[in-house]
Amino acid sequence: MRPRTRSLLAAATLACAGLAALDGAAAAAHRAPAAHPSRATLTVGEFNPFSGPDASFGPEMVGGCIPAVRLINLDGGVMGHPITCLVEDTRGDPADAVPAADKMMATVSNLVGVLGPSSDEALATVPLLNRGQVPMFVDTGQAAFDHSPYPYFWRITPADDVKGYALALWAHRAGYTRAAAVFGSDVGSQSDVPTLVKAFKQLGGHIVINQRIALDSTSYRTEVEKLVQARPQVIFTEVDPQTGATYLSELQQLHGLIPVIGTEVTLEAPWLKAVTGAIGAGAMARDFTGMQPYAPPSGPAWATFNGSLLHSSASVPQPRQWSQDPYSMTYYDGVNIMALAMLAARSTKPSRFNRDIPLVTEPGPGKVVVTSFAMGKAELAKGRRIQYVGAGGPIVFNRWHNSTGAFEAARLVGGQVKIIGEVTAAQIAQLSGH
Amino acid sequence: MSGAWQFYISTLLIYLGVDVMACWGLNLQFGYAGLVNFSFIIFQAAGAYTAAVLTLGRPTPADFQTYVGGAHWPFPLPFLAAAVAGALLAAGVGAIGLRRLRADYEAMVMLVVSLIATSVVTNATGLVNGANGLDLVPPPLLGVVHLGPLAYQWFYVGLTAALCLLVYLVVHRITGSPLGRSLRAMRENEPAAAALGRNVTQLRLAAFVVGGAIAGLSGAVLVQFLSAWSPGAWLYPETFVYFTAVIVGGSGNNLGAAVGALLVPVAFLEAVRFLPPFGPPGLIDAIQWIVIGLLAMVFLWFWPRGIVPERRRRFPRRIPSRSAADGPAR
Repeated sequence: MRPRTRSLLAAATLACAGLAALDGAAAAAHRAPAAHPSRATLTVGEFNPFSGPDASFGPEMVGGCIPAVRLINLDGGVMGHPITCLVEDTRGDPADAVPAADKMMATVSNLVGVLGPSSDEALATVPLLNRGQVPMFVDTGQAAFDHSPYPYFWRITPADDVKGYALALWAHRAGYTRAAAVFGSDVGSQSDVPTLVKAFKQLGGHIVINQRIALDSTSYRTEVEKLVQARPQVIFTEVDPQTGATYLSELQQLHGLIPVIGTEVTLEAPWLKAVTGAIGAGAMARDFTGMQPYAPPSGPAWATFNGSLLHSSASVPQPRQWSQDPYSMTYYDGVNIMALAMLAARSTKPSRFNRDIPLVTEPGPGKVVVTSFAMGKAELAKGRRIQYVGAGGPIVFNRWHNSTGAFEAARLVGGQVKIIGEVTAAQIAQLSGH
Repeated sequence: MSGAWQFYISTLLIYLGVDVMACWGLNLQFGYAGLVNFSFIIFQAAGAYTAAVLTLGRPTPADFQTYVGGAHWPFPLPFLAAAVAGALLAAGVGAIGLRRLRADYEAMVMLVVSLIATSVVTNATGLVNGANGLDLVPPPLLGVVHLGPLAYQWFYVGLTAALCLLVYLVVHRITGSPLGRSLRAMRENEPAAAALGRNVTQLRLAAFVVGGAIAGLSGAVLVQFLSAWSPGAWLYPETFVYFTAVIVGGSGNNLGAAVGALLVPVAFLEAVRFLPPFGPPGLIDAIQWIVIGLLAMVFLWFWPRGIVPERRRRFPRRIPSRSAADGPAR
């Protein structure tokens, strides 16, 4: 084949591929109706990193969204509309997330809400989603949203500054005064550090070393030696499973393990599995404590969530790993809240039902407490007002659409996560001055 | 066309403009001068951070982000500063990396420079806020033009297009000039170019610095649109996307580089977003990187000159003029 012909062939092939993609998108847009016709499927976007350094965020979200839409669809959907979850990978950075958000809003039929964005891309994409009038149940912990001006922004997971206070309070309660901060260099991990340092100091403690760890190195011997020289009594940490396993096993070999207090990331199944494999179950049981948002795996709402989760194995790989995951629970709650708000507003249009979101979660006189979509739907059909109490517990939004509660401390005992104590919302509020 | 579609299309057009500019910068270095700059993305990042810091204002103790410096410079000064930052960084890196190293070794050093830069910026949190990066970067001229969000976005498309035109005029001027011929001569046979009296170190550095300045400008355009910038946006694989674009489009040809920017970072990477999710999370992203690599390999093997090959330059053979005194031709 002559070079020129080859070039033309290559150009034609690539152009066809591009045109096909655009044509598909255009066709999807053409199919998307302006209003939601009868029985049209409603879509909830899972707008989170499914690749990149924070790729573990996305599957956690799937573990909440799928069980929720499964139950809603089993109950006949929302006003006859089935509902579905759609993955939109932000890849964990603003440059990829911005076109992803624009693409999702342009091409997804009947987009009624979004789970996410995460801290990786929230500041760049929350304004876009708000502009597009898409209600979002974010999982970013950034303190920048503590006083959010965006009406379509809703946060039922704790802010990172709250997490820092909870870790510091638990260490203080255990009598530690010298601590090391060992956090991954990724955005999600680093956003915990400033308030942790501040809060621990407020409580009379001292962060003797603050390490920002490059993830997934083959060895952390240098960092471990520096840590040992600083003589901390306890280690605060949030790193990915592989990094945690390497770091702590080297610490164990060089010096012996020091008590560890981790964030909710360290209570996720992959982290527990990797680190237990590296340092042993006995050391884990003795020296490790994880702090996570208070979402006890008990009660009727959690039982409903967990039952649906375990029946979702076709769409959620190894669903059991998300049974006690507070983030999966809050994503589940986010979908239910939006669906109930649609019923309360008698509209699937986000600009209509968004304002009704607090109406289905706030407590109030004469309200009926419901713990599932089905219960809420039945009560609303009777003309009653409802308060949805979710798998993650009660939800009360403040004027900035933030709702954060208590934290629980958990340990790994006999291969099972056991709750051993609680840091209350009042204690956190007292320390933070909010 | 709905507003959402207009936002999406205008976003893609802005990305196209940014990528075209970056590909022209890389094409000047790689396509014309033969420099294998695997650290190209750091010059774009330098421009982005510079423009962000010079529009964010000074950080306050209550601020959630910390960075060095900070000012409220009006448009177009942050853009110009971004280009200067890219050029200065290129001059620094080039002065060390280009003087003695060639080909494979040069590529290795540049790759390492890219990794070091990411590591430094991520870990030196006081510099430009570490892994969290910079956010809430104000868009340029928003308070001057008084436009709604959609109209402003189209305005930004126009601004990007104007800057693209400016960059094109610069690279076209360079590549069509004697300097461009010297760069090509150096690329084809460096000892021969040196033997003809060309200062190849100076030529290599010139191409490197101008390419760095263009990369810096493209970073400024991107960050002012995104309003955010973090190390996740400029990891070293991003350089290979631009390299693939230049190889696919046709290195040594500005039109080819623009075609490559349209096909690879915009059309191909955007088309991947439309794939239905399959396999474990992250699989599509991994496949995308594999395809980028395969694309570069396939083109280097079968179409090494790319879709729009570099024009072969032929000089007219001098034919001695015949005068009447020579007599009639036989």
